[in-house]
Amino acid sequence: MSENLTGVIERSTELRRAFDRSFTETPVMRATELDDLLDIRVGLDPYAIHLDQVTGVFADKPVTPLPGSFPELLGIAGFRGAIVPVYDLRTLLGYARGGSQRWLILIAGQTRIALAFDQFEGHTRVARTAIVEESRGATQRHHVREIVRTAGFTRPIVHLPSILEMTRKRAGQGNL
Amino acid sequence: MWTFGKKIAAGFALSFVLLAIIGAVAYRSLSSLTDTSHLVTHTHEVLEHIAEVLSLLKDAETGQRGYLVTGEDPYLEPYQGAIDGLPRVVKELRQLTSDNPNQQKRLDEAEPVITRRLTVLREIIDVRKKGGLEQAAKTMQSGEGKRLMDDLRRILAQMENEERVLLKQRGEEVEAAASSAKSTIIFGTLFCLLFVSAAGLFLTRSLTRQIALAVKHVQNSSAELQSAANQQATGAKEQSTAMNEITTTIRELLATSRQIAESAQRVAQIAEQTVTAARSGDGTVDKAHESIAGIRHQVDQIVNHMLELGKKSQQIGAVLEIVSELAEQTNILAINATIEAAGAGDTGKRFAVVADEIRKLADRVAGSTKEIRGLIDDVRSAVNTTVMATETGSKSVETGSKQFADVAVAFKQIADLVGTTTEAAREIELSTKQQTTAVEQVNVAIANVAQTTKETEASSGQTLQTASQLASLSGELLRLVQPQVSA
Repeated sequence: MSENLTGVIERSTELRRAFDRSFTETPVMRATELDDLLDIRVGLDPYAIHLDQVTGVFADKPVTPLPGSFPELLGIAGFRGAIVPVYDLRTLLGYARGGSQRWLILIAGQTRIALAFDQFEGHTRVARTAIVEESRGATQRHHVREIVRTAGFTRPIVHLPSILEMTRKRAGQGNL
Repeated sequence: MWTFGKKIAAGFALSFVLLAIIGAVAYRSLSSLTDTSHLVTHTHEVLEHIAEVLSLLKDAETGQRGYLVTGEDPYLEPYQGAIDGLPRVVKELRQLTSDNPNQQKRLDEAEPVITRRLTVLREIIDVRKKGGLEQAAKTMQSGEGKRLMDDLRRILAQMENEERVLLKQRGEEVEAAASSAKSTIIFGTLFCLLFVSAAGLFLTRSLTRQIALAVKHVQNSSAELQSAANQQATGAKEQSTAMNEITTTIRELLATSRQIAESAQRVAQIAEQTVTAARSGDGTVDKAHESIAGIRHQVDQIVNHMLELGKKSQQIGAVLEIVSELAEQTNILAINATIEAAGAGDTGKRFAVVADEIRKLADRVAGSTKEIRGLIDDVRSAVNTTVMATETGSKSVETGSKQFADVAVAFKQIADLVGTTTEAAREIELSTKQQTTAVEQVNVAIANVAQTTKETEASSGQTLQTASQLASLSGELLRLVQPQVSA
């Protein structure tokens, strides 16, 4: 117990020191060889999303379901004064429906849609060299073109443009 | 059943009676013979006195005649001797015949004659002195002297005759008494010899038979005694060996008893110390009882504090949820700010840096919040566990308190029992000491018995030797008594 308490005190001290340091040091310009990724979990599997493909991250947005036969569409939600359709990322990636899916991201682009997923883990910054294309084969997953390899594990990157293309096609077919 | 002593005494008694009878008869015969011999001697003395009277008278006549013839006085000496001796002789004669009236009567008759004769003789002597021989012769011729002498001779002859008759009679009596004594002695002696021989033969046969029988019994008894002595000697040796073993065992028992006594003494001392410890423990139990009550109170307080701590932890958790949500919202805002800064071009880059720092801070706060949540969960879990453990402990303390009360009661019982045990240990100690003393006495007695057994063993050997000697002696005695049988 005392060890945990000592650890907490050390962590809090480190946090305070880092917070203070952020205001004392000169701002460092972002290196061009780094990519920002959002780490999420769909079901129990880890995934990543390019931050520059997202215009916002939200949590616990109320989603109003819509009647229809499009299973990936959870409903609609309001984002900064606009009504945006919300799709189920689990279903889009080939998983069965379920879970709380309290997290939402708003995809950047002409067509504004939101994706709901299970868990938001955080924002990571990785070297661009760590992002590689996924090998094409029989086991290729839906909407995954790249994977990021960091120390210890591999995380597939959700390819949001393909999702936008697919939703656009669906909308064009009049199913939405 | 006549004993040897009775038989021998009877034989000697009969022999003694016979000898006494024979001796009495012989004594009576010899007494009669002696009396008769004394009477004969008496008769001879009387005869001698009668003859002496006559002789003295003759001496007086002889002296008178010599004086008559010679006229000289010396011739008167016989006369004078007769004058002097006659009265004494007559007196003695009278005394000797005092038991015979006839002789006394004759002495009465003779005594005047003697006196007269002496007077006559005196007268003639006087005449011779005065008138001469012739005148004296004439006086003598009167014849009175001769007549007196004749009378006196006649009287003395009568006395002598009677004495002779008595002498003859007494001689016959002496002869008869002697013959009777001889017969008594001879026949009595023969009878005694026959009787003693018969009694001796009877006693010899009877005693020989009985002695032989007794000697055989003695021989048999000696053999049995020898056998018994052998067995006794063997038994005495075995007994001596057994007594040695018993002595050794008793010594070991004595040593063991002493050890037991020492152990009992130590037990009593330990029991006394136990009593002291039990009394001290009784006080300690009371103090422990009070301490348990205090512990129970403290445990109750701990439970209350823990419950309070649990509530505080829940409140902390609630606050932490808010902090976590704030961190999450901050993170979202930081990410969105980063996105917005990226969309703002170069002008947004500086803001992007700040937003990134805010995001990092939010990440760290979220991580810390997770850790704090984990810690709070741990604290809550620990509190719950502690509360449960404390409640369990409280129940255990309560149960323990009850059990301790039971233990206190049991401890008091144990203390009482320890007291009883102490008394018992003291009694055991005393009894063991008495037992040790008794064993020591038994040891001394056993030692005495062992000594006695050794002496008995020696006595058995002596008894065996004596029995062997007795058997040999009985055999020799039997050979002496019945040589034909023993041969």
